[in-house]
Amino acid sequence: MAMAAPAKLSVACTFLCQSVRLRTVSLAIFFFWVMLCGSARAQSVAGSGSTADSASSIRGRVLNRKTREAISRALVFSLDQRYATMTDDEGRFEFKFPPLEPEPKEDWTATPDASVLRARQLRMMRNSRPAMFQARKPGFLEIPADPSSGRVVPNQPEVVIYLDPESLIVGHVAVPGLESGMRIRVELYRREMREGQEVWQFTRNFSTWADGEFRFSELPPGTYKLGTAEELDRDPLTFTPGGQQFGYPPVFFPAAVDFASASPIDLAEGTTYQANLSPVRHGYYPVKIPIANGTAAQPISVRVYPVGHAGPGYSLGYNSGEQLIQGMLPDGNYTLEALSQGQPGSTGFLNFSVGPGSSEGPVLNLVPNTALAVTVKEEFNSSQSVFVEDTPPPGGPSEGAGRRRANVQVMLMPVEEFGSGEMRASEPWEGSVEHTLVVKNVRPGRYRVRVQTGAGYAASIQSGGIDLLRQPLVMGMGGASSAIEVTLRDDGAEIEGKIDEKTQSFVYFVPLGEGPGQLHQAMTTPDGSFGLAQLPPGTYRVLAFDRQQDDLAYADAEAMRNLESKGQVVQLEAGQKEHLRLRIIRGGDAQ
Amino acid sequence: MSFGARIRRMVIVSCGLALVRCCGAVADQNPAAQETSRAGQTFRIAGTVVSATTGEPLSQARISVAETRDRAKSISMVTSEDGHFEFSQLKAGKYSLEGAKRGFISSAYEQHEQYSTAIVTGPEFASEHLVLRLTPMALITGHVMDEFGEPVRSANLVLYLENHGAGMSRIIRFSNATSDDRGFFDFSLLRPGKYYISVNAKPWYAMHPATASVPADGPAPQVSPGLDVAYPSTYYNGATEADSATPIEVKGGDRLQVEMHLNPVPALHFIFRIPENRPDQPNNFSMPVLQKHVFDSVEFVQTDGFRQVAPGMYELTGVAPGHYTVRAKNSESGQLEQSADVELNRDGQELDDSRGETLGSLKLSVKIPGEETLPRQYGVGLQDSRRRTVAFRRGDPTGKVHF
Repeated sequence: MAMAAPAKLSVACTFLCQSVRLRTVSLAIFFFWVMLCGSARAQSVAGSGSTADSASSIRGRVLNRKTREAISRALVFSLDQRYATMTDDEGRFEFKFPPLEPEPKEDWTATPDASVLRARQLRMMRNSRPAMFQARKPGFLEIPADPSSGRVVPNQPEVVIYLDPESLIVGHVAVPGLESGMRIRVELYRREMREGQEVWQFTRNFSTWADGEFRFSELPPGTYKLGTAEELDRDPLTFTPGGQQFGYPPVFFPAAVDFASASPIDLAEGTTYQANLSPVRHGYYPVKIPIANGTAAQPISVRVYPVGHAGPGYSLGYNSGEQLIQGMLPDGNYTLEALSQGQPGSTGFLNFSVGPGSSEGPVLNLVPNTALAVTVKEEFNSSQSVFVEDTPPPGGPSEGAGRRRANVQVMLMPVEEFGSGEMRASEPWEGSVEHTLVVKNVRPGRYRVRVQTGAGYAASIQSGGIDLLRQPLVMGMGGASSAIEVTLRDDGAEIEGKIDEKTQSFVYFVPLGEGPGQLHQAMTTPDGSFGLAQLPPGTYRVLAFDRQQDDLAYADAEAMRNLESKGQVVQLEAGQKEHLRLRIIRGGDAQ
Repeated sequence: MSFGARIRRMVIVSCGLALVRCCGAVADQNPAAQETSRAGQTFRIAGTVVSATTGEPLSQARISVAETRDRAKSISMVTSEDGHFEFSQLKAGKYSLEGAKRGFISSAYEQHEQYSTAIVTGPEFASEHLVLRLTPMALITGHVMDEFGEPVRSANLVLYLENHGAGMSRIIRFSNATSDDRGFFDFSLLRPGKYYISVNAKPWYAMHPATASVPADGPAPQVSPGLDVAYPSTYYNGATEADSATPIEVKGGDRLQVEMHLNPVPALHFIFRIPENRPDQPNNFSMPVLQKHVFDSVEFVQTDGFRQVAPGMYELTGVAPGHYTVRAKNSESGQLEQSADVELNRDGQELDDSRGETLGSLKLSVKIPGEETLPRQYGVGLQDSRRRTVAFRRGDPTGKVHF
């Protein structure tokens, strides 16, 4: 039973990778899989009493991935934390195992009683050996870049664990008021990929030391942006009521006034980047914006940024008692976004200007978020697909009862990285006879529409004549957008493939043609084979990597041009069965 | 509040002395000035405010003068870049001069400890080239180092201050910090006083396998004993109990550097049994919490948490030996029960929650002999036999205090 697990799990992984694409999640699943394999192997070994697992010890080395130098005094431990030791001066370690307990002769035909089962279980636990080791040391990243580092390979005398040296971004914030105890918050953003498109993910912040210094350590290599959060220069000693106030507006490295024009920092592995920031003192003016239709009980979050420059740095507060958005800003023109949570929540946008003499701004209206209908049309040839049984709506017409429909979920993924759009998933439309779903509580913004279906594939996604497979869905304020129409077909192409090496790898089907289509991916078994069914007809570039690609910019035509020489282009017709042999792309990053 | 009150007191004390000093200054005056003395003439108090440590002029400082006879009528101004201040149209008289600036200790002219100097204006007095010195608040910087002399990252540091508010001497938490990748930390904007620093951290290599394995005859963990260690709470200068901590005397303008060194000790494992025979509330129990006396207060001890090792049996790992209080929530009252203080130093020690006793309570009335009413503000502190303040309550006009 345990041996069947890898295949099943790789299917689960593919699904998860598509929907979540979180590195940690896939990593955790991967470990789980390795542990299953480990115990499965131990079990079979206990039966045959041979091969590497019967060794009474295991040895290994911990190496710096960048320099390949040995790392002394590193902690090495098994994932279950039952084994732990430190490396010696040459980075070596060794664990001794207790001798394997032989499998006693048992009558496998008889139904075993509880004590036999328990003894068997305990023996299995004692005979199980770690399938993977991890290492740790300050100055090196906690999560290895290569998840296969430290894996125990049968018949190999040594385990090698690579530690990735940390990178740092350090610097000073130069503010004249620092000796008076002002500490400026520095915010760090990391470039990541969402739906094949670059987004800047907030990573951490650092409140400067008294001398203005900041330090971001334990950073993986990558691309970063850096900036200060605005800080009011409040001094009760020199404050005069009604007088001019001052503050330090955000500044982004090296000296940009908005996030978009900040210079990205390319941080190489094991390096330290020096970045200094100099916020400039500006006059600040009070801002008061009443909300026309707020309620005191409703929590409202507020975002504010210079008009046309959505990004972090500025802030205003919400006074729920008086339903006022208020605070201080330097003079300029701003966009305000107010979001209330709830079912449905509401959203308000407002452009306003700040300057001397402007105290109370225009009134902001909150508009309830939209509910978006999705109709699903099935154009299925076969009856072999997986369906869910409909529950008849209580008290409703009975014609729809018992009809079998594909299990479909529609996801809206926001396109704008600093917009107010939030990810939304569809739910069944209660009481509807037609195959209709609803996506509730959709905020204004631009979204990419993704369809997950238990049967077939989404052959078309349309709304008001727009091809949502390739174009974003634009939701206006309180937008009465037309329904999304999804057409499912089950004549997708079927792929069976093999990697030219017997190793675990990650296979990506990048749709070619106009606009970013939907990426499909698969994880191979350890012997390098994979399968993918119901792939929408079309042209794809197929790429196989030795590790998961968290930053495959498949929606970025320019970034994908670098991969033109790699991989294989396939054109798939409806119902086509295709065999692929792929060469693995090593060295990790696609870019 | 109390700081302002103290200043006021010291200025009053200083008036007498000011006279003596200013009389001394009379001899240096230009006699010609005396001839221009006339009723109705006005005078100036002017000068520069500078940093007492660097001598640099200070901008954005608020300078105020008030006649010592009528302190309510104070006038003030904010200095510009050159640190110059000037008050004109002053009558002949005796004035106090005070300066305040963010990051500096507010101070009166020529203030030393309790005494400061008043400015006397009049035809025979020079009051136009005064230098008012302000002392910056103090800064403590330091590093946390491990037993190999390597920096300890993400160590939690707490700064304590000996506080003399409300007529009692108590050591209170003042500020906290987390060390960076170099083990560096700082505490800024410190007023003069007596401070203590504590650091809590976990060795980066520490591994705490459960000793009682699940099930009992399951595989035994193979963790080098040198890894099952913990850093005890460590105080400046190396003490591991608050009572033996060395105070850091901070004076105005100080830039102090302290090094905190951590040394590992074998970590302890404790077994805690939850009585199984509580049929009335089978799921209603809470894990005990470890507390520690730190100066005049009780603080929670960060642990790795409890792991269930058998039904009704839990193991707590990664704790340094020391003197702790173990408390569990009473499942009926929801209040914290207190067990007697326990000396946790024996490995595998069992903590028994059946010995828990409810916290005592104490009611008392406050009266002042010969007085009808109580002062508007007062507090009552409860100290234990070691003179540690274990509780503090603000009093109300009825005089009833309940601990």
